[in-house]
Amino acid sequence: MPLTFREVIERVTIDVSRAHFWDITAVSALDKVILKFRREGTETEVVGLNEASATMIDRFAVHDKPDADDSFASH
Amino acid sequence: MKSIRQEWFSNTRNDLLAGLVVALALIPEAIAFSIIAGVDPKVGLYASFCIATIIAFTGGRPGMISAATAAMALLMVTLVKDHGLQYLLAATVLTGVLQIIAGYIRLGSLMRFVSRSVITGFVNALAILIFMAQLPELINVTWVVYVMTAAGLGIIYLLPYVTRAVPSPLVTIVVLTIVAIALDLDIRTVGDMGELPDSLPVFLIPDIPLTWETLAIIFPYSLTMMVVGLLESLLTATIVDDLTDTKSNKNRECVGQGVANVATGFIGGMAGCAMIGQSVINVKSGGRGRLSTLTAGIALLILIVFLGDWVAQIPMAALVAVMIMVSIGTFDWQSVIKLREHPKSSSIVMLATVLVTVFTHDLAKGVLVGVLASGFFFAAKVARILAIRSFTEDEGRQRTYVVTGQVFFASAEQFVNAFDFQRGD
Repeated sequence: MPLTFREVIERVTIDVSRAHFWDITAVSALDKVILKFRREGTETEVVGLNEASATMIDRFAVHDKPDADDSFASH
Repeated sequence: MKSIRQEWFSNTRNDLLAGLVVALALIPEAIAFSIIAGVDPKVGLYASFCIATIIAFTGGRPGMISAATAAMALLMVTLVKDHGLQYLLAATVLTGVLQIIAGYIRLGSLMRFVSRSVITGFVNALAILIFMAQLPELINVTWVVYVMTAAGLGIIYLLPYVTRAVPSPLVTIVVLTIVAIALDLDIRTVGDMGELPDSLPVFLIPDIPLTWETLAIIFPYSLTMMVVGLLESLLTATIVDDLTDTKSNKNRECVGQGVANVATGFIGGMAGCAMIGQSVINVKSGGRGRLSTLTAGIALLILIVFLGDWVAQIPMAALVAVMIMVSIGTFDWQSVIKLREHPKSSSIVMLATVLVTVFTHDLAKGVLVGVLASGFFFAAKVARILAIRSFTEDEGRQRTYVVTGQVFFASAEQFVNAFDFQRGD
């Protein structure tokens, strides 16, 4: 394959239906991933959060909060 | 009412007999543990009487024997050396108070974090420490001591092939004492080690200044003794549960141990806990109910008060032989063989528990290290089952990542690194 091939990802789906996010370190890792994709201009979606993980993410994640990008940039 | 009769009088004859056997077997151990702690033999003997008698009523595991123990004695050595007996008695009372609190806040359920490898490490370290505590009696002594100790071990291990009617450690003590008196041997005896009981114990308040300074001295010891005492008691309770196919009340046992230690401190005894070896002797001798434990305590007191003069004549070599037997019996020899078979992490946890305990002479520190190491290895293992794969769709415009497994502190970095953030290349 010639080097001219470029894979241009526009959308990313993260399927976590068989994963469990246990603590705030895990939640902030997910934050980091989503915010990095966004910074690259990639549309990102998380699907299949189980209930316990969803609770953790509701309480501690920043990527789903309105000022998400600002808080990431300040780091 | 029914359960009282069940717990006390369902097995009367066997309980009385087994209790008597345990009382006889307790005498040499209680004296030897006093010597390990650096106190007069009467401190361990009163403690063993008091703890066994009270735990018969307050304990959560009928048929289990509690008394002065090696594990606890090893923790008191520096307290006795630096501050004396009165501080030990105060520390014993405080240990009991802490255990009562532990029982009410259900600290017993924390036992589930103590893995099998840590327990194996605990008993192995205990065995090594008991053996090491005998070395002062075996270094720089005459050849007579070695002959006596060897003869003692011979009786202990060979007599059971002839008869099991009397505990062989007791026969060792009796025979070696008679030999030492008959031949007028010039070797150390129990009488040289300190005062023996000549009366019933009396209530006394530890003679210490009631200040914060005192508390600062005894609290660390009491805290460690609280942990080790409960650990060994709950471990022993589990062993008795398995042996008898019955259940025990672990939180009641914690409170019961506390009550027994508080009372023991006030009659001049040292802190104790459940004893694996004696409990097994009791069950194997037919003891099942609370009456067996009560009999052991009361018979012990009667024996020592009436036989005090004879007890003083027991050669130390006989006690050393008994303690070597306790040490060999406590050590889990199977665990050495299984070191290579078991998963590496389990073996490391076991060895870490042993090494830390032997170097610090503190079973609580060993157990703490073991529990932390178990947690560390568990986290590392679970972190490894995180898998992330991805595929593209829609001619490379859509990428889906499928995450399977556990994401937490130990696997978070691996999680982040699995994603490719560059839009191209």
